[in-house]
Formats: sequence, C-alpha cells, structure tokens
Amino acid sequence: MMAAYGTLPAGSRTELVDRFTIEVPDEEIERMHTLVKLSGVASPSYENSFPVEKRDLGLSREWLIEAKRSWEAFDW
Amino acid sequence: MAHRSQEVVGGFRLVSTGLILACRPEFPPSQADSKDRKKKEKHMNSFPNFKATIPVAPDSSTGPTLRVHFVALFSGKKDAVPILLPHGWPGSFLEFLPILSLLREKYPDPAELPYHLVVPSLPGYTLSDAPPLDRDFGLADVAAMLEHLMAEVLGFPEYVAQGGDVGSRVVRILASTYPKCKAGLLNYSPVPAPDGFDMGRLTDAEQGGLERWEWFKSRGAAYALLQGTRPATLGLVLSSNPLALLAWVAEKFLDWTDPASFPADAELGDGTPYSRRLMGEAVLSASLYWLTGKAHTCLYSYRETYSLGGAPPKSHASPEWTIRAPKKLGFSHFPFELAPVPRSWVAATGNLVFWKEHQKGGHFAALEQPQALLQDLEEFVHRL
Repeated sequence: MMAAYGTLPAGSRTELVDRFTIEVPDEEIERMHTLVKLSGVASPSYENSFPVEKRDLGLSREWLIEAKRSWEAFDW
Repeated sequence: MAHRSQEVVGGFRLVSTGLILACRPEFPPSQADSKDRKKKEKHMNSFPNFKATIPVAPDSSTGPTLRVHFVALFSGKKDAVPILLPHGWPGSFLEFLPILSLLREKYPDPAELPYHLVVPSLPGYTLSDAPPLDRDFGLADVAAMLEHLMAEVLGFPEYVAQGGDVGSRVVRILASTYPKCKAGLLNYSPVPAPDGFDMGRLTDAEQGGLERWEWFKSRGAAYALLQGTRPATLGLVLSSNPLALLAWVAEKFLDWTDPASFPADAELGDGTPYSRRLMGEAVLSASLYWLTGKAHTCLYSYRETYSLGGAPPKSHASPEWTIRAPKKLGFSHFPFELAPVPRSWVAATGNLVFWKEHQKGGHFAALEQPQALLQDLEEFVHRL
C-alpha cells in the first residue's frame, strides 16, 4: 500500500525502484550518544574564545560545548 | 537516551546515578515513551522514501550500480512537471523537506499537485551508496546518474532542476548537457564580472554582496581547498569522532546562513546569544552523516573546483556550463549567499528568464526560507 504522493509515475521502471524506510537501530544511536558524551572539547585558546558571532578564526568553543550538551539529549 | 517518559525518569531517581545504565533493562520504554522517540526519523519517513538501482556509467550496459536514495512527492496529474532538487554539502535531502511539507499543505490531494518532486541523496552522501573504490568519480558522473534516474528509471520525458551549493553545479551540468533537463533554477552561482562590466555602476546592495564574497574567499573558503586536496586525511578525521564532524560542519551552518533566518533565542555560557534551532539543524545534519557513515565519501566534488592535475577548474563561469536557449536559467538571489553577485553577472552565463531578489536568507535557502524559494520555483516553472 503506497502512502499519499508515493505512487510511482506511469512510465517508471518499477523493477529498479524500492520503497525505503529509514530505520536506524537503537544501538547505533546509543553508540553515537556515548561517543558524543565521551568526546573532549579543547581548552580555551585565543582563537576559540571569541563570541560566536565573530568567527573569523573559526568556531566558538562555547557554542560547541552547548551543542555537545544538546546532542547528548538529542532525539533522532 | 533521549526523551524518557516521566515514569521512567522517576524510576531512575530512585537509584544512585552510577547505576542508571545497569538498571535500564528493568525500565523498558513505555508506550508513550516510544511514541515520543525518533520524532525526526518519523518525520523523514512521513515522506515517501525510495532507493533506485542506477549504473555508475549509465552509457555502458555493464558495470557497477549504486543504490541511490531519494525522497519524492509524486503527483497523480498527467501533466505534472517533474522537478529534481539536488542538495549540497554539508546539507542533505533534509534541506528540501520544509519545501515538501509546504507543498503537502498547499496540495493535500496528490491528484492536484502540479509537480513531481524528486529529492535525491547524491552518491556518497548519507543514504545513497558511496562511489566506487576503483575509479575517480565526479559531478559529471552524478549528473549522468541523476539524468538516468529522472529520464530512464522514472520515465520523465523532460524535467526542471533546482539547486544551490554542490546541487547548483549538478543543475548546471544537467541543464547545459542533457536535452531532457529543460531549465535550471539556481540560488548559487559564483561567477566573475562579465567583460566590460563597469564596477562604478554597482548599487550599495550589490557592493555589500561582493564584500561578503570577498570575506568568504579570504576567510571562509579554506575548507573547500582542504576537501579538494586532502580528502583522505580529512575524511579519516571526520569519521573518527562525531563531535569533530559537528565542529567541521557547524561552522558552515553558522557562517553561511542569514541570522534573520535563525534569530537568537538563548544564551551560551559566555553570555553570547545563539539560535537553538540552527544548532539543532547542525546537530541533525552531523547525526545523519555520522549514522550513515558518509562523512568521508562526499568530498569528491571539491577536486573539480581547483586546478588539480592541470585540468582547468570547473565553475559556473565555464563555457560548457552555460545554459543556452532554448534552455532556461532562473536565479533566486539571497543576501547572505556566499557569493551574491549582480544580475548581469549571472545573465552572462545563460538564458536568464527569471531573477528574484530576496531580503532575507543565505546559502541554505531551502532550509532558511522555504516559502520564498518555493514561490520562486512555482513562478519559474509557470514561466516555462
């Protein structure tokens, strides 16, 4: 049963196309969460200590710390 | 684990924190819990997803094939216009989901949808297979495979394409090379001033755009040279740790978007404001690349941007990428694009029949301003 908008056009070679469902196994997500949690963030340096809106030298350390925190609780 | 139900969290509070992991099996997710989990994956699956088998070299009848992922909204209308939407780096098919959502709302009946929308994952990116190991692979191959997807696998006699970033390069190749690709709408086209252009004629807005491009070239583009010249090393780094991958791609989400698209709504530890939604987009993108194991297989196109091995670099200004009449070129101009060039510069690279300037939006236009880009796409298609 094809969902809405999922019916292949009339001229399609249906033998070459399969429906696909994204299903990331729980263990893979857990492994990612564990790696994120265990990952270190560099200590403060001149280059990584600018406010996040001043990125001429690259990414702000504070932004990455907050992103790491949000990723640890991230729902795929 | 994310988003546990109150009951389970309450249960955890009864044990000492060091035992939480060991206790997990005794607290299986409740039904409410599983309903609230994997909301992003459920959203992705709310659109029809497919995988197609495509030869790496569609001209030859033998040889390897790749499984190419795509999301689609297929219409029931006989005269629906097929539209291909190739994404860029470090984007993915996710960039176009907001536009697909808007189209589902606008045309709730598939029989009324005026278009077939096809959003492929480029080979080497996220849910599509990686390019072969035994030969170099580039955007001409990508274009040939996507042409095969549209014309042969899906059987469309003709189609339109829209893209920015790497996707804009794919659209250039398709519209300049393949007869069935009738028109291309771009939102990225870094090209130099045409011969004889009077720089004194620039408006303030145009001058501002060129200053942004200068900033990008002098301070923001080293990543592309690195991806072009040291993709093996960089790929090993990016695939070793998810936080390293996030740092590499997040910088681009921050640099390349218009702050007006993602207004700050929270503060970092140092008191500076930031956008939680933009952070969420960067984390989602890094998660997708990480979970699919494709951080290192999507860097191939950057070799073509530079003169490596003596071949002239391929660019939007290359004569072979000119989109000539009767083909049609359209352009959506966003102020925070990396190379917001004046109209006449883009007009020198093809049969420009559509040009629209927006007040808000940047390099991730489909994600940042889906309403505006969709309106342009619909107007462009109606003009063909």
